Amino acid sequence: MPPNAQQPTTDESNVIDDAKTSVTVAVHQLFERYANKPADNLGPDRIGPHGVLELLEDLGIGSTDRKVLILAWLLKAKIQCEFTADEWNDGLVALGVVSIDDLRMVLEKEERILEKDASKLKTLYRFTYTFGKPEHHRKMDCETAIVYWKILFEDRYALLDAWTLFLRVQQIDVIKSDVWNLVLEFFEQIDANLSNYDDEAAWPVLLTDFVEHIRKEKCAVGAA
Amino acid sequence: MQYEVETIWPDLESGLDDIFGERRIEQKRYMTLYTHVYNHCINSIKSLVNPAILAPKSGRNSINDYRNGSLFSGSELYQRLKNYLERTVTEALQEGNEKHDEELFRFYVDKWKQFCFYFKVIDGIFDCLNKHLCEPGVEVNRDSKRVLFYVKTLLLRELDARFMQGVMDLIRQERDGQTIDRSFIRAVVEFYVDLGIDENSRSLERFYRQKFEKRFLGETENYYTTEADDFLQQNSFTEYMKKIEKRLNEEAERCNFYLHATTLQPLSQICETVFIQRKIELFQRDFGPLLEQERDDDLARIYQLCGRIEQGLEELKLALERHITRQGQNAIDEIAKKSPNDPREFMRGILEVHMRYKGLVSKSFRDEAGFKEALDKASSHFINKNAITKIAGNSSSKVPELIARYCDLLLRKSKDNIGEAEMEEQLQNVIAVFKYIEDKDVFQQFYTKMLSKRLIGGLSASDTAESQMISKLKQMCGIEYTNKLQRMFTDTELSKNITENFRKNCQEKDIALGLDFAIMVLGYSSWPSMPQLQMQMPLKLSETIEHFKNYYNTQHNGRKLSWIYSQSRGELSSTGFQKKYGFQAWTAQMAVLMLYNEAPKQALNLKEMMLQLNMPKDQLVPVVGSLLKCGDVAAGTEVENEIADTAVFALNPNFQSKKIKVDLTRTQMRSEVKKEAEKDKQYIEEDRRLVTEACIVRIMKTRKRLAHNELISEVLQQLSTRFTPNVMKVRTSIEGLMERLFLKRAEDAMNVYEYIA
Repeated sequence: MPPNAQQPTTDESNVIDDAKTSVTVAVHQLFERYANKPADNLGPDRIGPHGVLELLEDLGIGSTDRKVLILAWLLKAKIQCEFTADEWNDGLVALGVVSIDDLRMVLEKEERILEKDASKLKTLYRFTYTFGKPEHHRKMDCETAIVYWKILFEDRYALLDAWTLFLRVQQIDVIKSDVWNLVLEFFEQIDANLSNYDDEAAWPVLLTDFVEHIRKEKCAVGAA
Repeated sequence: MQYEVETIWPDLESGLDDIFGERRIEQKRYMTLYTHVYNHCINSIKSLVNPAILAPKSGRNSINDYRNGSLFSGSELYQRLKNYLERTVTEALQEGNEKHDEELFRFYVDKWKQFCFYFKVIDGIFDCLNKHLCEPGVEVNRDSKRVLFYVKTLLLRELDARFMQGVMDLIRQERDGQTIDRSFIRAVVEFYVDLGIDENSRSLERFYRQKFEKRFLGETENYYTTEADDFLQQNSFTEYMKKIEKRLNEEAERCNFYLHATTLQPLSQICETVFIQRKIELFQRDFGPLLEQERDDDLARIYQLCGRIEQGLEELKLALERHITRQGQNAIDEIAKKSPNDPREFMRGILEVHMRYKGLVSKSFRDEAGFKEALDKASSHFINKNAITKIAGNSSSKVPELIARYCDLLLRKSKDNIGEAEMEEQLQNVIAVFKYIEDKDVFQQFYTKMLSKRLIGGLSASDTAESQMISKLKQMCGIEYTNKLQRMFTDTELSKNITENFRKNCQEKDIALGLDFAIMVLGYSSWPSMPQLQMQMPLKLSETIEHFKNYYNTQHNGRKLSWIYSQSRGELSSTGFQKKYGFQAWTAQMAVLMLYNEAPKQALNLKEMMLQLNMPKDQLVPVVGSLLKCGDVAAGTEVENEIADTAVFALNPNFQSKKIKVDLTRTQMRSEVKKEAEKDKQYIEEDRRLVTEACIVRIMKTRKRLAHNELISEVLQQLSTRFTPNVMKVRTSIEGLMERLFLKRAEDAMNVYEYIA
């Protein structure tokens, strides 16, 4: 039982209410721990970058860990490295999290779920695009996209490095949302040797160019 | 019992003997025999139904026994009759053992006729048996014919054994070229057919088809297979084809004369298979060389022969396509070596090849759809991709440009006066070629520009011809294609009225212009863009312009006039040279020249010109350059790309020209040409992008939801009438439209697009 629990009454709804209240209080207390850091200077009801850093330390997560994204996603955060009070409170209450340990467990659990649940992963993935770019921008810039791909996919896909290299060499500046979305499908569906890539399918032109590029390289290597 | 078989048979047998012996059977005797059979049958039924007579078995078994005839005493009678007939008939036929050929045949025919008669009688006597032998569920009357049928089979066996070979030999002899007795064979065939005549034509099948026809077709196949091989070894392919024709006709005639009409179809088929189908590679192999050698008659032959076989023409069509493409490419290769930029040569080359093969397809291939298509495909190939386009760096605008220029030459005033009929023919030729141009929108662009020049310059040879061409283009491509052209034309006509009315107006108002003035008022959107020129007009001109502005405003209040001096021109008369030359010049050139009227020592430098004309330097320099080229002015210093403002240009007093009327308008600076070409290209690109997008949106709006591949193929199809779209560009357009939220990807399927309303 949480430390500040009041004596339970015979009335059930009261019990639930009390339980709820105690959760809310706990969550709020947690919020207070990280919010309003003077170094952040964001105003009263936010956890800023420094707070987030401390939070991550307490959680034992590195800043490029996927769980950071998952946290943002679960809390429906709008801005990177920031959580509003509402986001924090609503999110954690919904998750039933009242302590750092709880949060850590939830995040780990969620990560494992995402490994198996493709449609959930898709939701996280799409969230990342909106989240990862500045709010008023329509598109995400390329370097940011690369960072997030790395975070999300780590080493799962062999073609990721080639893709990253291609984007840089071609000096692609922005990644459109359509391209972002389809990259997930691409990596999930297409073999590393591109054997099942269908030229006639509706892949974005940038991906088509990428495939062309890889094929040419292969030929060159083969010829050499 | 009285009606047992044993009892009645002797009498019946003697009756049969009488019949076969051609002894008359009297009515009474006939009835007796009939009654024998009748009673016998009736009794059999009775005994069947009477349980007392039945063997001690269950009721069900008796039905089975009934079925398989074991209890059925009628069947014994039938069996005896059958045996009798077999014996007697075989004996009767033995008589013919010594006979041969025709004699034998006659013998059989006679015997058959006899038997027919006998059987009628026998049939009558054994009528009950016929009816009785019918088991429930079995065909009625089958057995009555069974007897007959059985005899026929006997007869045929004999015929076959002795006879058929002889008949086949005869036919073979006739094929070898000998004369034979055709009526004899005809009689044989009729006999076979007769044998089969019955209510059901299945019998026709059985005898004629299986015995005679089958054998005949087999022999035919063998005969001709050998002949085909032998003949080909010794003769040319052309001769072979002629041989086939001859044989096919012969066989048709043969069939007509002494075979049954229904044999014609399988007979033709066998011949075609043997002669053509099995040698199809020869036809295909020789088709190419015959094309090369232009042997139209032989080609017609191949067409007719191969056309008889399924899929026989497919290879030929492909071969034709390849051949025409090659011929076209070769022709243009030649032209490309000498004059790759000459529209007339280009057209000539195309038309020569195209016309030649159009004629061939018509003459030798009867304008068959597949061959026409081969011609079209080939024409499309060599017209759009050839040596000339290669020299031009595979630019897709070379061909449309050349053809547009050809039109321009055709429609311009020239020394050769083309009569109306010839003009019509030439225009038809152009349209015939135009049909194959892939990038028709490029052609449109060039044509529009050239038409504009012709109209403004008054260079059209004939207004009728111009109209004709526009309407032909409209027929090909629809109104949208020729809208602007039509309006340009109309504007030109109207302008004549405007000029006339203005002149009258000036007369009425007593305004003396002091010069001959004609104006063209062009609708802005219909005409190609023309460069603006900024300058100060010579006095006389600017006065006239003012007058016209006023006049026009009274006619059309609210319309804005932009003056395009760059296209205007006029005539100057001069006294400063050795002869009284008259100069046709652009207005800008005129303005420069007229400056010299006041210029000291008749020399000016650029800065002065710029000031007096109020013209920017980059527009002035080309004008001066053109006058230099014509020799009107001479440069004081070297003219390089960057001319100093102080460069001096003096009027050239020694200017000479053969003609009194000198045309200064022919020159144009090279850089302008290049710039124009660049702009044109951009314009086309932009235009295509817009058209593509509009097309995509239009399709998606109707279909709401469409798979990627289907969308692409529909777009390609719709655009192909104007130009050949590039698939990648279409995909880029689709992506662009997705970004601008006209479409989106379907949630459930990556490859499907949905329209966003």
